[in-house]
Amino acid sequence: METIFLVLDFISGHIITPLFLHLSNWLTTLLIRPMDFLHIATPLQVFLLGVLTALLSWRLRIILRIPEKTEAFRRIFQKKKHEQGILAKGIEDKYARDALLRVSDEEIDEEYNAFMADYFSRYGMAYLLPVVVAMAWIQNVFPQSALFEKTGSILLVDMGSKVLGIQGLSVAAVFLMAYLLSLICLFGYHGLRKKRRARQILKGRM
Amino acid sequence: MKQAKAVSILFALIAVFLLNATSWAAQVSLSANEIKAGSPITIKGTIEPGQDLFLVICNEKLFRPSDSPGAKEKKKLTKLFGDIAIPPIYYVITTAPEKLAFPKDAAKGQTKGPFAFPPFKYTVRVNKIKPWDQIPNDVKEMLGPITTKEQWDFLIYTHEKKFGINTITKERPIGGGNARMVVTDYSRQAEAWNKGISLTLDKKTGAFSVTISPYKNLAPDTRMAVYVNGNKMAGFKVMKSGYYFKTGCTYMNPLIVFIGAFIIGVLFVIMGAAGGLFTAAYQITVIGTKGPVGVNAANTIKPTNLFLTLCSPITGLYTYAKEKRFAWPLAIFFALGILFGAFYIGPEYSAKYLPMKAYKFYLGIVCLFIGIKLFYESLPSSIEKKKAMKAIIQKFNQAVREAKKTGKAAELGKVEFDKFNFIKFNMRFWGETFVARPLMMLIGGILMGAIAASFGVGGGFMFMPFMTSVAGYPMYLAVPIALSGTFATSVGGIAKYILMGYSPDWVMAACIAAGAIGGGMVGPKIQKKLPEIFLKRMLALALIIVFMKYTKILPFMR
Repeated sequence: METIFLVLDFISGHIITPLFLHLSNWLTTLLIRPMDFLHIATPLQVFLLGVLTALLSWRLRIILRIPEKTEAFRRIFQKKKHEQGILAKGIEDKYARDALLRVSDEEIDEEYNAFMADYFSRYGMAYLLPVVVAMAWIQNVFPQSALFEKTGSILLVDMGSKVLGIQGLSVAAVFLMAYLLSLICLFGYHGLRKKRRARQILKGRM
Repeated sequence: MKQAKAVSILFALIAVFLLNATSWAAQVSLSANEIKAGSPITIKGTIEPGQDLFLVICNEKLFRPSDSPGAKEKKKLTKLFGDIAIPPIYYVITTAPEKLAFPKDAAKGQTKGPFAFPPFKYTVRVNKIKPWDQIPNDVKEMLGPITTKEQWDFLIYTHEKKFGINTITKERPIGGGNARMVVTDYSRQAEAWNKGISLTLDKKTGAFSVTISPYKNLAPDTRMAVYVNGNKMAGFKVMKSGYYFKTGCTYMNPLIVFIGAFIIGVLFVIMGAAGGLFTAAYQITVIGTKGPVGVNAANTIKPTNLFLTLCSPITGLYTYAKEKRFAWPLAIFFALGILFGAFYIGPEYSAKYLPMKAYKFYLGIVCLFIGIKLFYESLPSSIEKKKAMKAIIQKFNQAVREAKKTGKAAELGKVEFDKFNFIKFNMRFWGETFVARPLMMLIGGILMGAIAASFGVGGGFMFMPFMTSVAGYPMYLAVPIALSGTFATSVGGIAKYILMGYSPDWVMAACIAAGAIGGGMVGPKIQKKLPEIFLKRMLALALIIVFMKYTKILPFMR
């Protein structure tokens, strides 16, 4: 066991940590320094990083073929549900029909659980991982101690007095808001484009 | 002549005094100026012969309640102790521990509340710290940076009260009692808290030697001060010992966090629920998340956990909405209720009333219920029941094929609603009619959202039984609504915790997320090859052990 821990410590201390440190330095040089050079305010920097992370998530979503996989599951689900409906119609006895529906529900649940696990993995890779990794990096770039030295507050946007029970916005709050807003905009734009395309196809047919 | 004699005597006395003073001045040498966190340090030196030794090791940087990053902790501690400053870690290693504390049996565990009875309430041996008024005046001068009654009272709080320990001291009590503060050589006082402490003092010469391992999760570059009989004599720096999670405030190899989360990911696939509970237990027991000084450990675990539960529902909702499988009047009321509970009630009351001690205890109770449920599902009777039902399905599968051939396939249903009523209305879903109760969903949502956000979990383990058993909805209807509930819990809970000053440990969250994602990918592929019954029983056993550990019902687990 001791040897395993030694190996894990070695991998972590000599490969993974230096790799992430380099990545962090590289990202700082590429993103933060130019923004500093342009005198962009810290809250806006964090906001822009949220937008960039959302764009990364959007790109990952396409690379991981999430819409296609979801569509495939939807088809399987509909097929099973369809079969269940036909089965239920063929049984006259209410109790037998209920029992059948319950068991076939369970069967579909199993399918659903497996899908959800896969779903979690894909969406985790597209959305959760970029957010947590970006946040881990951002908290190193804008640590609370540095914010306190710079602005006299550990909050990124200090409202001074409490507004609706909120004293201000932390780095995490600004970043997450920017991320979510950007994703909402991206999904909205995507939806609009799809609708427009569908309309154009319809017009073409007519 | 007489005057000259008097002056010479005076000079001689001064010389003797200075000589003695020089020889009495304590001298100290440390085994190292820098030690790895968790490693022992040896302090050797001399004090005035015949005296007792009071060696204080503590943080150089003092903590004030106003330094608390957590809103609730700041309010509570400021109310109790004002602007008093104390070192979070404070040890007095002494040859006269009886002057500062005395061993006694004390009631611990659930000393109040609905579970304040054995075995949840139990007796353990603790080192009871004496009140300031009972400490001899000469000893009061030996306590380093602690010079007032208010400081001493604050220290007692941070070493005897679980809230103080989990918020400020952070060092786990040895033997389930109080955190280490007044200690001596184990051979001098054979009590659990003195284990690993070595103290020798030659009273004739004043030569002493002390060896102690300070708290193992001290942050890298923490500066510690050493006081000998009241005088600051030396200091040393704590160096990192492996990877340090900055917000979780614990040393742990990130790969171990990843591997553990990977296993949880695989288990999540097998169980289909309770991933949040497992992650919470993993953070408490294996990773040992402590949180920053001034934030109760539970208030770091909860937002980190909620963040991990956010991912699974986030876009599943989008798909369901697109498929028009949302019973929206129900989902909206349920999600609104949950959002309200998770934002306004859960975190607020959890931060205040569910600190680490209570959090662990009630998490243990929840683990017991889920463990029993899992065990029940693995029983031969349950499996037989399932098998019998599956046989019926096989029989009717044939009928399906025939129906398809004859073209009798029915169209897929959609969710349809009659006239909306806040109390009760009829709803058709996939060709079946159900009674919808928006008010019940709203109230249930508020309650469950508050509970889920309090524990920092998604709440799926509550939502599904509520939907299927209490509300009587089929799974296809219940799953999207429950998913909207999990999403609302995560959003409401995270937003509130972050606004209250409780931040997740992002690096830890990244490691756990990566591991869980990996486990989630591998799980479905190996699920069929795994012995499901055996695994379910093992999981049930693990959950029951977690219950026993968190509720401390067995003496050796305290």
